[in-house]
Amino acid sequence: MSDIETTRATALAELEALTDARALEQWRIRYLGKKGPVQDLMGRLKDLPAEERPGYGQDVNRLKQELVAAHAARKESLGTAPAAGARIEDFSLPGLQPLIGAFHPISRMMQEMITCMQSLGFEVAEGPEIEDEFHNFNALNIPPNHPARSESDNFYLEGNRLLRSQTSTVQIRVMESRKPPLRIIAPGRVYRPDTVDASHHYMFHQIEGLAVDRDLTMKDLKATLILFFSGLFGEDVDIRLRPNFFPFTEPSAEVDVRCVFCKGRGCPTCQQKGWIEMGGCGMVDPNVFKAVGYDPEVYTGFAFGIGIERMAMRRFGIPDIRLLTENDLRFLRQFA
Amino acid sequence: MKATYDWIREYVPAFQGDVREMCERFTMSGTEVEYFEQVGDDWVIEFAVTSNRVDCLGVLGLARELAAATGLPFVPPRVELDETAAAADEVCSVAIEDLDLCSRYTARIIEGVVVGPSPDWMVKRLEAIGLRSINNIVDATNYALFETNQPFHAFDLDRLKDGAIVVRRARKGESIRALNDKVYELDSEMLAITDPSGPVAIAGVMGGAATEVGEGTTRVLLETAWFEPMSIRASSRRLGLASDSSFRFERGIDRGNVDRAAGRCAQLIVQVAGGRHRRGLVAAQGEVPAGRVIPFRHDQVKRITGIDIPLPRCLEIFTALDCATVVDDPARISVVPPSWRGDLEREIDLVEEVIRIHGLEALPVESGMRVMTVKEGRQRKIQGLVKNVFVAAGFHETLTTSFLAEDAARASFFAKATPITIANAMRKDENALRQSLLHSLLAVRKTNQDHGNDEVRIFEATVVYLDHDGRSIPEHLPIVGAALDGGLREARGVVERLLRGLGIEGSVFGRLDEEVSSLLDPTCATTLRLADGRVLGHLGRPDRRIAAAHDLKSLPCYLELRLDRLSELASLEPKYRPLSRYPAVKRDLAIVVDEGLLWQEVESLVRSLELADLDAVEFFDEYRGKQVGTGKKSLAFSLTYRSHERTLTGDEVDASQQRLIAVLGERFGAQIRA
Repeated sequence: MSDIETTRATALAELEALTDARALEQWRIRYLGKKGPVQDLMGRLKDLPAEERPGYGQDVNRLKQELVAAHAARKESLGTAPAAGARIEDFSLPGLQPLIGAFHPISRMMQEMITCMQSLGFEVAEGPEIEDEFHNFNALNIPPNHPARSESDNFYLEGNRLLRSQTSTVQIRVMESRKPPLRIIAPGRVYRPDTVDASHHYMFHQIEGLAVDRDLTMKDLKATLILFFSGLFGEDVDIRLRPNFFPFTEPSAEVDVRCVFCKGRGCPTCQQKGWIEMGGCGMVDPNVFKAVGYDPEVYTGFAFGIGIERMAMRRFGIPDIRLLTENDLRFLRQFA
Repeated sequence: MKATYDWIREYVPAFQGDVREMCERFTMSGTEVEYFEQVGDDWVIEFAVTSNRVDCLGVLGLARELAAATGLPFVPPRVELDETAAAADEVCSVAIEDLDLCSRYTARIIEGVVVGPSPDWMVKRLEAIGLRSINNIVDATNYALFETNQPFHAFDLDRLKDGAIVVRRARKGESIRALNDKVYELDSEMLAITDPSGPVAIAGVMGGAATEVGEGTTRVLLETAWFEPMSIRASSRRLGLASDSSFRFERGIDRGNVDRAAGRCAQLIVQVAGGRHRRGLVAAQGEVPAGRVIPFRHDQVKRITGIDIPLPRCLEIFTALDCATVVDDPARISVVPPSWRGDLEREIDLVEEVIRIHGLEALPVESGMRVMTVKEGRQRKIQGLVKNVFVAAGFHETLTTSFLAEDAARASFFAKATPITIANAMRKDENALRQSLLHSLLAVRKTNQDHGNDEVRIFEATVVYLDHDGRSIPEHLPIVGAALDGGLREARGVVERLLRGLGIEGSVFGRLDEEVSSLLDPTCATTLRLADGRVLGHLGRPDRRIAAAHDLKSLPCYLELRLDRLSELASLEPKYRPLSRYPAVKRDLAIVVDEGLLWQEVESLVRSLELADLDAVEFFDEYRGKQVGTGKKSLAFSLTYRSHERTLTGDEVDASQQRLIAVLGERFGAQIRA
C-alpha cells in the first residue's frame, strides 16, 4: 500500500472511532493541519521526477478532498452533542437586567398630554405656583368676596400671596407678556385645602390650554378637544360639551368623553352615566381680555383645563390617589 | 339642591318624558344632575346648581329651565287669596331703618289658623328632599321656600309686642334665643328684625324662640323680604349659623318675586292650617334698581360660537327665558332680562344663553385654525434630558408634596431664606413651603425602608420656593434632587455622567461649602462649582442628625443640583473630535502617598507636566493597609499614550513615565509600589 493509501486508511478509521467534537478538532489538526501527513505528502512532490508529479499531485489532492469531506460528514453525524463534563449554559436562568429607573405616572401622563397638544401647535408655558390675588382671581373675572376666594378653597401665604388654585393663572401671565395669536398649554401643580382621602389631595396637577386669535370660535374649541382626546384615547373617541359656569370663560362648558370601558352603557367607572367628566372649557370671557389689555372686539379665544391625576388614575388603573405621593418603589417600578 | 320629578312636572305639565329624560334635558342645558333615585312613587333628583344660577335653587326655577330647554309651556301655581274686609295694617306695622341692608319687607296676616300636622302630600315631598315635618305652618313656609326660592318666616302675631316690626341693625349688647334654642350675641354688623321689646329674629338667618309659632298660635304674621346678600353672609359667618334661608339670601334672590311669593305662601298656610287672610300686604321699601337693558348684536352669536343661529331663533330663546326684547334694528336689539336673572348683565351672557338653549350638540366638528409652530423652552428641554439621565441610571422619579413642617423647610442649599409659611395650613407638619428636596426624599427613603425595599435610587426635578430678595412673587428655583443607596463615588458618578451628557465642561468638585455643612457631612461630601466659581450643587452623606430624624437604618447619599445653571451651561450639540488610527500604549502606576493627599492633586500634577502624547489619566483603585503603612495610602492609576501621527515606541513612553515618577516623588514624596 502506498503512503497515500495508508494515510487514508488510518485517518478514516480514526475518524470513525472518535466520539466528540474536541476529538474531531484534534483529528482535523492532526491530519489536515500544516504539520500533518497530507501536507507532508504534498511536500514530497518536489522530490519526484517531473513525469510522475501530475499523477501524484492529483492523488494527494483527492486524498485531501476526501478527508475534508469525511470531516464535514463526521461533524454532521456527531451533531452538537457536548463533550463529556463540558459546561452547559442554563438558558432558563433569569437574565441580568440593566438597572433602569422610571418616570412617575403623573409625569408620564402629563408628557403624553403635552405631546398631543404640541402636535396641534400648542406650546408649553409655565408660571409661578405662588401667586398674587390679581392673577389668581381679579384677572380671571373672580370678583372680591366671591366664594372661590375663601380660606376653605385656597392656601394663603403671608403678604397677600397664595398658592395658585388653578393653572389658569398662567393664561394671564402669558397674555400680559405676549400678543396674539398664541396657543399655549400650561401643565403644573395646583393647591386646594382638601382633606386627603382616596380621591382627594391638597396638591394635584392640571393642564390648561389657551388659544387666542382674531377668529376663533367654539367650533375650534370642540375640534381641538376632539383631536386632543383622540390623541390620548384613540380615533373613535366620542366627546360632548354641556353648558356649565366658570367665571373666566363664557360661554362655558364641561367636556365629557364617552366612557371607554362600557362604551356609554353605564358602568362603575363612569358611575353609570356613560360619560366621564374630563374638565372645563369655554370661550375666554371678555373681562379676562380686558384685564390683560386685549381688545375683546378684535380677539376671541378658548381655554380648557383638565385634571391630570384622575386621568392618570383611570389610565393606569390606580385606585387611590395617595399611592401617587407615597412613592413606594414597588409602585414606582410598575411604570418602568 | 334636591327636587322631585312630580313636583317639577306639576309646573311643566306638558312634559311627557320619564325621569331619565328629564335629567338628560337638565344636564344638557347646564343644570347638572348629580344623581336621581326612586322614593315611593316619585323620583328625587339632586342638582348641582352653578353659582350664577341662584334662581334654580327653587322648584319653580327648575321648572322654568325645563320649559325653556324643551320649548314647553311653564305653568306656575295660581295665587288667589280669599281676604277678609279687615285690613292687615290695623294689627301690625312695618318699618325699615337700615334701607341699605333691606330693600323690601312685607307682612301678611292670617287669622284663625289651627296648628297641627301637615297633610300627607306635603310631608311626602318635604321628606323626599330631606326636610323634617314640624307643623303645618312651618311646613307650609318650608314648602313655599323650596317652591318659590323665597325664604319666609312665620311669627306668632300675638307674641310680637304691638305687632310693630322694625328692621334695623342690632345694637351692641342685644342678644336673641333662636329657634334652635341657642342664645346668640348680636352686634351692629348684623341685621335684626325687632319689636319694641328687642330682636325677634336674626334677619335672613333664623327666627327667635320667643315669637315662634306653636300649638296655641291662631294669628300668624308672615314675613317675606329681600335682604342685602353681603349682610346676611356676614351674620351667618359671624354667628356660625347657616340655614336654607341664609343660603339663598347670601346668594341674592329675586327682588321681583317677594310679593308674589308672599301670596303663594299665605295661600298654602290657609290651605293646610285653615284661617283667613286679612286684606292687603303691609310693606316698607327702599330703592329698587331698575331693570337692565342689554344691547345684543346678532352677529356676535356667530363670531363666538362659529355657527349661524338665525335671529328669529334667538328671539324665541329669549322669550322662552322670559327676556323682553325690542327689535329696532335687527343687527342690534335690546334685551331686558327678568328680575330673577341677575346673572345676565352683558352681551356675552346673552350669547351664552342662546347657545345653551339652542344646544351645544349643534356645534359641528370642523375648524380652520391656522398652522402654528411650536418651540420648546430651553429650561424644559434640559430638564427633560436631566430626567432621562437619572432614569437611565436606574433612578425612579418621585412625586412629593411641596409642604414641610416649618423647621424642616429651613433646610436650603442655595439661599439663606426664611421659609414661606401657610397662613391656613391644615396640619402643623405641613405648614411651610420647602426650599430643598432633602427632607422630602429622605422621607421617601424611610417609607421604602418600612416597606422593605432596598437598592433605592430616587430623584425628583421640581421648583423650591426662596423668599430671599423681596420680590412680590418669590423665586421658584428649579432643582433636581436625588438619593441613592451607595457611596459618594456613586453619587459623583451620576453627576459626572449628567455633566458629560449635557456637554458641561470645566466644573470642579471641591471641599464642601461651609454654608451647607449642617445639611451634609463635610467628611463625606463635596460641592460642585462652575469654572467661574458659582455653585452648581452639592452631594454627599446627609448630616447624621438629619438622617437620625428620619429614622434611617443606613445612610443614603444625597445630591442636589441647580437646574437653572445646568440649563444655562448645557451645550446641546456635541462636537466630533478626530480619532487616532495608531495603537495606544498603556502604563499602570501605583504610588504610596500621605493619607491627606487628594487624587485631584495627583491628577492635576500629571496633566501639568504635558507629557508628550498623553491621551488619558484614569484612576482605578485606592488601597490602605499594612503593606503601605499607617498614615499612607496607595493610589493606582493608568496612563494611556497615543499619537495622531505614528505608532509610539515603548522607549519614548518609558521616558515620560520616568519623568513623571521623579516629579511625583519630588512633589508628594510618592513611592512607587512594586
